[in-house]
Amino acid sequence: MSVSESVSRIRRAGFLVELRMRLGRVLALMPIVLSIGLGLATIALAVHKVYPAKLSAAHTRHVFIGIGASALVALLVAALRRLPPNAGAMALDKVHALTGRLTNALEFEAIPPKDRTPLMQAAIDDAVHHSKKLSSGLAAPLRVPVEMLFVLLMGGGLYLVTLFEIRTLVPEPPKKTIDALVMTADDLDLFRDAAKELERGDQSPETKAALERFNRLIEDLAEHRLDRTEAFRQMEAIERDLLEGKKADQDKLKEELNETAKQLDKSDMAKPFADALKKNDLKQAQKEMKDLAQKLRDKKAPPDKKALEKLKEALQKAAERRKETLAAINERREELQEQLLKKKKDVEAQKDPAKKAEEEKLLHKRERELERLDREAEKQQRANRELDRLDRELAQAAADLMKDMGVSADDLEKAAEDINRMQQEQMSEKDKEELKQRLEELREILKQQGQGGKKRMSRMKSFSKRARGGSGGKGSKSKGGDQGEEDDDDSDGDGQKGDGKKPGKDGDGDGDDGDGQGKGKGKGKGKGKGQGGIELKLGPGGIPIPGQGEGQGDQPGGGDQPGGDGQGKGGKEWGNGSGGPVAGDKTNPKMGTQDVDEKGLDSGQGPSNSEVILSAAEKGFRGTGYKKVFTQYKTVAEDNIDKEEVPDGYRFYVKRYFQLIRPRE
Amino acid sequence: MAEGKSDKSKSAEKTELAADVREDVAKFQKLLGELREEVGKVIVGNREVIDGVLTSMLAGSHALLEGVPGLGKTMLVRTLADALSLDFARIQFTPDMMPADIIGTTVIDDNSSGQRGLSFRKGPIFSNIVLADEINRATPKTQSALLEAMQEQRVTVSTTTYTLDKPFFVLATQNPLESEGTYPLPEAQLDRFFFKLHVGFPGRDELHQILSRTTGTDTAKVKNVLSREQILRMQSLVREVPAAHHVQDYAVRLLQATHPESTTLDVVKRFVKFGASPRGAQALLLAAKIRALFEGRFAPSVDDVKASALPALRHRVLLNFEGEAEGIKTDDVLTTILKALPESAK
Repeated sequence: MSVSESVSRIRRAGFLVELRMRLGRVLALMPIVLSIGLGLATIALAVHKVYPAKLSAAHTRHVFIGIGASALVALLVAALRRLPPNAGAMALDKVHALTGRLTNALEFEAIPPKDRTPLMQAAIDDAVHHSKKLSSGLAAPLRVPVEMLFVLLMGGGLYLVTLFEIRTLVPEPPKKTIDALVMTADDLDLFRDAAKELERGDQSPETKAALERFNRLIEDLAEHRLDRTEAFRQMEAIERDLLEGKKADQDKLKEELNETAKQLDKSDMAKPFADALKKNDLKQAQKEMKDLAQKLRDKKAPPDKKALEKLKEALQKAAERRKETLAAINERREELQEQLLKKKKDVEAQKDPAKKAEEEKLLHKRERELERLDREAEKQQRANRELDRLDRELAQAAADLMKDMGVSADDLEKAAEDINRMQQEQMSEKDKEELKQRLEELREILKQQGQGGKKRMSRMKSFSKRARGGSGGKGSKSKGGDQGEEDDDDSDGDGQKGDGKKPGKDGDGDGDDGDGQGKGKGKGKGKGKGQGGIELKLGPGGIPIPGQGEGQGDQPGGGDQPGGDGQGKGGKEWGNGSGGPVAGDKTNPKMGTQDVDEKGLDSGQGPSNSEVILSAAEKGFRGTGYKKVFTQYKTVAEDNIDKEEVPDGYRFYVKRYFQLIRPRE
Repeated sequence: MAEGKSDKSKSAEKTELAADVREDVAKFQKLLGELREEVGKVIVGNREVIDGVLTSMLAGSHALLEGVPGLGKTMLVRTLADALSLDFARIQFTPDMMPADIIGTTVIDDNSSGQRGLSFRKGPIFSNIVLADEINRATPKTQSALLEAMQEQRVTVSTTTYTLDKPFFVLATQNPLESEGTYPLPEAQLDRFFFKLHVGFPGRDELHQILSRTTGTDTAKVKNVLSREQILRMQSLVREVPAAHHVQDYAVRLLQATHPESTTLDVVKRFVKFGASPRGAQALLLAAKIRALFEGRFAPSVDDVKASALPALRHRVLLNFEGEAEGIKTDDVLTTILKALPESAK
């Protein structure tokens, strides 16, 4: 081996030693770096476990990554830090006791040969001579530091910390809730009952679908699954569906059928049918039409020719009348349109401002009339479309009547089928109207509920409970409601505890209109006085309250029930109950209140109405007696509402009132 | 082709030179071994002192021996002079000694033709080996005369300059105990000594040997081992020895470490007043080279520098008052520096 090769070998050995020295540095530093790293990691993990809110898992991961990266950087720096020149050779010199021979040789070898002195060359040769066995292992021994045991212990500690579980009560994140609408069970029952009522009849598929949706809406409200927006949206959707299916205007249809009936009324044979149509009893009309067809088929007693002629004429007129009506409307419309155009030109031409204004006023009047006629024509057309088939059948029957009565009878039967169809549609339309009405009520209740707040809901719940016969919660006394709907506990008694002074007067039996508990057979006619009508009071409190007036009933108290054994002493009762204003608050005559006197029926049985009402107020709205009284009152109220004797703005409250005090099962 | 041949011839020439050098070094080592052996016949122990003296001589410089009386300092120098075939002169320094007593003086003398005239009569300084015994007893003036000759290797008397013969080697001794009536050498003069060697008290075995050798009838006879030319050749060889950069760098860093203003070592900052002069670094490197040759190596190592550090620097580092008060010795300071100083610069 040449000298240069030997020197290269020495250099390689030195390089290897340097590598081992770097590795040794890493090993030496490792216990410190790992101890610090593991310590910090343990602290971070412990903090995370104890205070997860302060140090989240993600942050802990970041800390771990940071610690790991720092440790790696520290070790890398230790490994890559510059070593002194020829550090490996020096280490080899030391370990092999070469007293600097190798280091000197490497340095001298780096000097260009021409600059080397003989002694330098001799030193290189000497180093080569002494470097036969160089051990890099001895020069830079790699030993795992004893401190690594401590690191292992710390690692174990960290592992234990990872196993350590701290159970903390983590509050469940609030569920995404909606501000659900709340209705009292009582109101929900009300609407459920209404839906059940509607379901009983035969409905068209769209009505059934609408009802199903309505039921679902009620159930969703019951389960608090809907907020205000969603509830109103669903109600609107149901209403829209109901409106889409709406056909001809029912009033117009009724009117048209009435007109048809008037034409048919002229024929004796068709009179019963006409009567039924006049009453809008389509079922009966269908029956009558079928009977008429049967009469035409009846060969044993065929109708005389004169009657048939009349029938034919009546049928023809009935079939054509509608076209004539529509034609008349259209003619009038055309006439009006022409007039309108002319008027417009006149107005434009008119220079006198006073006259121009007058002309314009007239023009507006004509325009409004034209608009009305347009609407009328539209209604007529819709009604015509509905009745077109019936008309065709009637016309066909009239045409066939004189040729073949059997064919004509068939035509009439077809007409009867049309009537049946119309009847069904009418019924369905009724249901739809009813459903629409219910939706309207529901909307109004929800609106008011939103305005009333929790206090009102609480009162409503309490009221519902009491209405069902439970003991209501403590009523909170409140001043009059904003919209005349406040109904505090005190005012519940208004008008319900009045004394109806109506001394019973009968002969043998108890003349009292409520206490028919006497024994024996009552034969006499009790002339009860005092069962007054009702007073609908729309006072400042705003709540329509049934009151007991002092109207005089001159209806004979003819009890049709045995009055007992004749021992009973009637008429002693002056009513009972006390407290509260007898007639409620003083009626403000300017409020449009209207007292209505109705004659009451005194059956001569059971408790008086006042007693029933009082009992209901105390024990809840239940029992057959109450039901009867309620029905009476409600009927009167509804009649008055229909007669438009109750202002529009208050109709809802009247209805609502009766809904609230309806008899519970 | 011609270049190739030239390279080959150069290479062969270098190889030949290297062989010669190896031979020279081997001879150096052999002669030095013989010299040690001869000195060892008379001087018991004190190997380090002997080596130090030899090193100083081979470096062409001088040595200061310090030790209590009776430790064989004078004997050592005398034996060395006997072993070397060189002129030897001993000067016992006393307070009344004058420079002329060392350098020489001009006297009236009859020449060969019977005429009288002034002639210069050389003093003991004109020997190859001069033993300046108890140098600190002479006055500074006299000390200065000696020290000038030591440094310049020449003597000027009146207007005439006399060059001293080579090799010129002064071995001075001083007694550290009897400080009364002495004139301690100033630092500037101490610096001119290559080494300051402490002659220690011999051990028990060594004492036995001393007694055996000196109380019997047999007296050891030292023969000449080295000729003047050989010594000069050896001195020349020492100068030829190459020093690697890292070794030289260590010497420099070591020297700097003795300076309180250029070190971070607390002991130096606290107790040292002045650090060693550049002569100290020269001494370190030369001594390291000689040590390498002693051991048959061709270049000094860091260890050689370390080994030479105490004798080469101890008289060049000046302690401050605190150091003196604390009883700190320069050797302690130097040992601390040696321990703390890394072998290679980072």
